[in-house]
Amino acid sequence: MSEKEHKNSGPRIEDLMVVEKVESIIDRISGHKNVEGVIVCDKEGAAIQTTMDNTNTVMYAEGIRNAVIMGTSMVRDCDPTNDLLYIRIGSKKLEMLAHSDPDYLAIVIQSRIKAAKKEVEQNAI
Amino acid sequence: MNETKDNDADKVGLNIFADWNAESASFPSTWREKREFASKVMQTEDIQVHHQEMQCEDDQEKAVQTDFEEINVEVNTLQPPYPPSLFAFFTKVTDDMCRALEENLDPFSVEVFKDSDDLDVFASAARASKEFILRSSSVSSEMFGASCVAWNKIGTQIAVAYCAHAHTDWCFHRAPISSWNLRRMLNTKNNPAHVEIFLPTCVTSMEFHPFHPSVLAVGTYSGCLAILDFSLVGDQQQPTDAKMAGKGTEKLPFYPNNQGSHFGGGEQINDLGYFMTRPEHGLSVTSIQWVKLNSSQSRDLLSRNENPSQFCIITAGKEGHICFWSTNTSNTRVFLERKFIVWADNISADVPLSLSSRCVLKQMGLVGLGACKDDPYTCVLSTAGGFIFQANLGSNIEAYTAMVELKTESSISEEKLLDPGLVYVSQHSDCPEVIHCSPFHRDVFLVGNSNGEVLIQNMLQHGVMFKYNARKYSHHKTLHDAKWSGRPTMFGVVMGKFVQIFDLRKGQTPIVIIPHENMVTQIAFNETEIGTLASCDKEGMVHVWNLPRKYSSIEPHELDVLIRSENSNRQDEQDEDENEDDETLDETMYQE
Repeated sequence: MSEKEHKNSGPRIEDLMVVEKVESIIDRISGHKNVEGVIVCDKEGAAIQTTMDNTNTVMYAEGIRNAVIMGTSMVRDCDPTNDLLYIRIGSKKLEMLAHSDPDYLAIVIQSRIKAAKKEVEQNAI
Repeated sequence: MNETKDNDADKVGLNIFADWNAESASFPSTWREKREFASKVMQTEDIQVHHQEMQCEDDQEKAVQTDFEEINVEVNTLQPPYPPSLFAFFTKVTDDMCRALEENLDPFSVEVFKDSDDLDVFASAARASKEFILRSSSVSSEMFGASCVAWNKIGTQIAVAYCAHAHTDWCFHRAPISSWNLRRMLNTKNNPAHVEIFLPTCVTSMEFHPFHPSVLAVGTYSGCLAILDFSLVGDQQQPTDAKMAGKGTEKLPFYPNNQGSHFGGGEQINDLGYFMTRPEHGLSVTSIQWVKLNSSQSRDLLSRNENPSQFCIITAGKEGHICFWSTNTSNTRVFLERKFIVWADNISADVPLSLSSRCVLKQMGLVGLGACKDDPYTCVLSTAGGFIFQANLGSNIEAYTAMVELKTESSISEEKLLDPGLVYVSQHSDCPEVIHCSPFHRDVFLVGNSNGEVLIQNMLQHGVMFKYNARKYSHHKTLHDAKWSGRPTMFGVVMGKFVQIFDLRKGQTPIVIIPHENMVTQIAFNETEIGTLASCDKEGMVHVWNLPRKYSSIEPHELDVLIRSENSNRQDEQDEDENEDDETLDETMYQE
């Protein structure tokens, strides 16, 4: 059944299973320590699923998408047979991971390890 | 047969030559008789046309506005069911993503990045605002850099001295000491000096008179002491002699007057605004301090000056001599009252001096000197070997051994050399570049080692009250200056291109970090306006900064921090002594 037919017909058991699986994956990713948000965008750059507020979602999605486009073009310029898989941007406070796909873009925002490191040290004491 | 053929031929001939009225052969004409149109369309299935309108549920009209307004952007989230392709995408990337997230939790992975604590300090530390940028137009930044900066006691005038970047031998440079009156500044940048006085040698240390706001005492590279009076020069004084203003290497004559000094400078007596002594120090003057005497102290210490002022000058030279000078009330003359020498033979054998210092080079070079706030007899010295000594300038003991050793052919000094009665305080792992006594506590002083360590110590106690590491917050590894501020618990440290301000009550991280474009050589805090400080750099620029308002005033009970630390140190020492006594007693009992 094509995606078009999906729209016309109501939810089916298979669809609900897909929903459950996708949401469990998002929960699994969000459950990692210091993960501040998960954003899923389509190929146009529009966010289709997010765990953050709208303003930050739009901000990060647009920014990361631009970086992914730039990275993709750079990788292909160097080697036309190559393609960008994922991109990692580390800042002073955050680390942003983005996995690229022709159809989707998944972005994870994680705060820096400082908090986690202190927790590890406290646990060690 | 032939007749048949003939008959046939006749028929044909008859047909050919038949009458035109005979019927013609009938076959359909290819000419179109009428026009017909037939249209055919290539179509595989039924054509369906759908009209869809884009209709917004909600319209918002927003006018152009200049004020910031948060725009709520609605994110269009797909309502379930999700397309199967999304699940396939997640299946592909989830493992890699989780692995990357878990990598970040590995504590060893932080070694890849620099410790964010360092960067967070710069982000969290307060910033100072720059008020003025000053620079003398008479010096070239290629040859000279600013070596010293000082505020006068009322906080209105700032003076800067310049020194050549490198000296190969005796100093013949002529560099100005430039002064600005901040109450008459017109611009924040490009302010020419209000007063400039040119000396025949580079300046290595200076300090304003405690009472006269225009009098400045200066120690030079050549070992001389000079007294400047800006009020005699006048504003925007231009050197009348072009040679005085140039960068030439002509030698100016010294004035070997054994009875002290007099106004010098050639023909223009008093017009140049300074006078200079002969070089009592063999090497450069590393520190210069004004001290105030009461009447009894003046009687004890001063003998040569008939009309002494209550303010005297202490200078320390790199060769290890300490000179005690008296001035007259008009600050027109100085007299060398006492001269001390730091001599290894006069230092207790308990002090772990090196063998070369004990046996070979007995003279110990001085790097810094700090005069005690309320006691002009007491000062702390730092030597190049990392030793800190407390000296007593009231000592009358002659360094006999030193005199015998120093009376050589090259000796020009006939003054009696005294032993300053050195008391060992501590030894540091690195050269103590700077030593500065607290203006609020008579026994507390700070020492800045060249490796970036800053130690707050008490003259009367062993150990360290506070210890700071300024190197942690700077990319540069050498400390150039450290000074107490106008607040009892606040001090500034110069590390490379950064000036770091610390507060004893705020922990180990600096409360203010001031970045500069060039290497900073010295800082000076304004004693009247506590939140103002000046810094000078190697390019000859002087920057006047204003600290944030919360650091610009003395808080109540601020001095108690030093007193409490002193008491706790004393208590710790007592406890240690008691423990040692107990151990000794136990040993004695055991032996019995």
